[in-house]
Amino acid sequence: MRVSSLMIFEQLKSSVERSIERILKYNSQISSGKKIAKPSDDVVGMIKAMDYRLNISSIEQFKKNIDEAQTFLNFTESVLASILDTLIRAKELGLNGATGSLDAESRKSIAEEVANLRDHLLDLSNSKLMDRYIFSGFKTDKKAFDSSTLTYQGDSGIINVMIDQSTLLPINVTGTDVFRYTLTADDTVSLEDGRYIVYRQNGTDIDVEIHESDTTLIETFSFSNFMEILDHLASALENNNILKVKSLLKPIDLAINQVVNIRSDVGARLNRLDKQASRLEDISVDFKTFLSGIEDTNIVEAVSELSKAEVALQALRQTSAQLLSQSLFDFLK
Amino acid sequence: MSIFGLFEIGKSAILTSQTALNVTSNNIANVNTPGYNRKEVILSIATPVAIRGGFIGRGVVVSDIRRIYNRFIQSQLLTQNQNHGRSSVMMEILEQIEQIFNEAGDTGLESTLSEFFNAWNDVATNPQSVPQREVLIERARSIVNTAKNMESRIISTLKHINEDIENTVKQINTIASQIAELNDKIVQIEAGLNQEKALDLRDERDRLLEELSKLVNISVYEDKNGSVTVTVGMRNLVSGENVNTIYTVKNKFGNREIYIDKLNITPNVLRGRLGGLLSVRNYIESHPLHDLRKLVTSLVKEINLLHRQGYGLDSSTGNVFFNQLELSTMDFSTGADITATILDHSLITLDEYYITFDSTDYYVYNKQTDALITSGTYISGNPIVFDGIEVVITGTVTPSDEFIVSPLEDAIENFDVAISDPQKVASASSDTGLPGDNQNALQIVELFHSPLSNLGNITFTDYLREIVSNTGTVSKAASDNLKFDTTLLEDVKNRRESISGVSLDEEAINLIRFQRAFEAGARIIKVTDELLQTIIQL
Repeated sequence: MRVSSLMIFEQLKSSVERSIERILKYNSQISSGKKIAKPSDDVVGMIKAMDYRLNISSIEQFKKNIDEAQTFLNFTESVLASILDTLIRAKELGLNGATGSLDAESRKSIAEEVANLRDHLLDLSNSKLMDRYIFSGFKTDKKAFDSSTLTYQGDSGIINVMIDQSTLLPINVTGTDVFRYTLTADDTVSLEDGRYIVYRQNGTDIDVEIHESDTTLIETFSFSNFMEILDHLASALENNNILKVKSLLKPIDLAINQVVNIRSDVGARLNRLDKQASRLEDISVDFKTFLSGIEDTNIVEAVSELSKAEVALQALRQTSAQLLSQSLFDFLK
Repeated sequence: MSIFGLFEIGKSAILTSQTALNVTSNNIANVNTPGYNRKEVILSIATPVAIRGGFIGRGVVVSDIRRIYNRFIQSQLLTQNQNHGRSSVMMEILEQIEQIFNEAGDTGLESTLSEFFNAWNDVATNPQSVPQREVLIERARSIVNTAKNMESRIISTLKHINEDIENTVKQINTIASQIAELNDKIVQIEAGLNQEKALDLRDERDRLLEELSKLVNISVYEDKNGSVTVTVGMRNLVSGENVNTIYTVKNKFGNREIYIDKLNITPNVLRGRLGGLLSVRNYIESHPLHDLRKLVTSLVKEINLLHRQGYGLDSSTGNVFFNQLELSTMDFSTGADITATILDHSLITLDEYYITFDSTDYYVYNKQTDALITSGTYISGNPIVFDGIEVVITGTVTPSDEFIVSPLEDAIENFDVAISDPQKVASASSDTGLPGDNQNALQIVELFHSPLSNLGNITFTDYLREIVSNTGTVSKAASDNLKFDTTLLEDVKNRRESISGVSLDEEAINLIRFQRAFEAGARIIKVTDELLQTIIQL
């Protein structure tokens, strides 16, 4: 093929351009640390990278949610522990007060402590984390129980938190779950002297009937939550009403049971959160590895490609210099 | 033949060598001139004369100076230029478009979207607290800003394309009139010769045709008298010394279309820079721009539908989170007016529509699929209801009238956060006065991972990824095309250079060759002179 002078120049020019382009490409890969700078560099890689980045960001959010849920549930757990302690102490005092050998004066002093426990329980029921009442359902701005009437002011709202793409976990327990139990059927407890006590669910209340016999009713009263149970206990002790004190021992047992159950439920949720958090941590590490594999420069490879390209350019420059500097005119004297 | 005949032979040798040296020098001088074809002197023996014992030549004459030129390669070059012109401008613009959808960093639309939904998550976790709601509103504003920024970059690219189209058209006209001038000169010089004589003018005209072929797809025919006819889209651009200028006219969508001779040739302009510009404009409007608007419209629609159901901390309800969607209409009628309103936001499909008429009826079509949505007898002022939209057209319509109704056109322009009071963020779903209720917020959070029917049963981020992947793939294809076309073009250019290009080494040899011939010719004259001296001194 005939080669014209312009062809030599053009050929060398485009070879040098291509060579420099290659060098710049690897150079920018090394300096930015990324091998995908724009979608067309690797469309599939870019889409995967977007997917991984989104997943990582969602996981970070779920971890944040889990963190908040853990704070809330841990706090609830510790409040429940205090409630349990309070109820157990009330039980001890109740048993103590039911002992026949005790005199009225001693019962009065026990009554005082029970009244304190009732107030403490009320305080616990109105526990607040940051600015939220934890036992009020959705009505987090209202105390769960009114301090004078002892009625529940919250609702049955369950606050869920998202801990995975399609998984919600409830973070609260409502005041009714913690401070109230429900009887499914009438419960009768016989006392040793032929008397018996009937517990009957009546709406949200539980009616207590103390019977002398089938025909004679000694006393009835009712309660709808644990504070009211302790209220009744305090007044029974105050009034030296041993029978009523005895009738309240069973409800306190059931209350303790109820709180233990709720506490283990909360414990199970915390457990689940721990597991989910560490699972998310694992996935997040995996995704970060995948992401880096897709978009990060393989430095060793890039450096070796870069030096190859540099050697090629150097060789090209040397041969070009020889080729361009001479023509037949140089030899015509 | 007398002894003076030797002078003639010597003279012819000197003059011919001089001409040859002229041509060689001109070749050397034009070694870097674009479009220059090397010239060659064709020598032949001067008509011999009869002498005793036979015929003897009378020296040498220049019978022709011709350019080394291959018509076939030249026409291939024009074709490759057209392809290269198209792919290089497409690559240039698609690279910019791709950068708008570059999600390689942490600043893309996807991360903005994900931060927005993360902020809803924080509201769901702390429904009673205000700071999280303030953050949410900030995040929403940053989606608005990102989307508006992306749209304005696309629109400014489109604006540049339209300006570029106008400039290219001006260049085409300039080159066309230069070609026409050259046509005129070449015809005059070559008149009656039936032979290529105006070599340098032809070189120049070929160069101009090359320039023209970079800009637009042309066909070139050479007439017998030496002038060329250039056609664009089946219409004459240059014929002889006449030029039909091409010009642009804005169409109803504000885009410039190409006209020649009062005829719209836009569909026939497929290659060259102009063809590339038209094609890339079409792509940008129907894909990245349309798709981005659709994504935003869908986000506004879905978030608002849920948000309106919920309750804020201040017990307010029925508030929209983003500005409510509005329909835009375009009126291509002479005597009618249109108003369009959204009746039911939950029924909006995010499609665009066009409405046409015959003598009695109206027809509503889907603009993207051309599917008939609804039709009926046209009565001025009667509402036409479809897909949650109510359209009222008043006045007289003709079969040439057309209306366009679109929920997308102004979606990003109207895009903004509608609430500024964090109390109004509707996290609660059931009742008023429930600060701990996060059920509505959770529904909105779940939206992020839900397939949406109006996006084709994929999620927001899937849809965004489709846009990114589409712009990336198209840009990659354009850059591959450009590489391919560049290789082909270089190949053709090399072949032409190989034939027509000047080689300095070759010309150096010619220089020596004709110098020697010149010297020898001069020698003949000296020898003849000595012969004459000899005779005179007898």
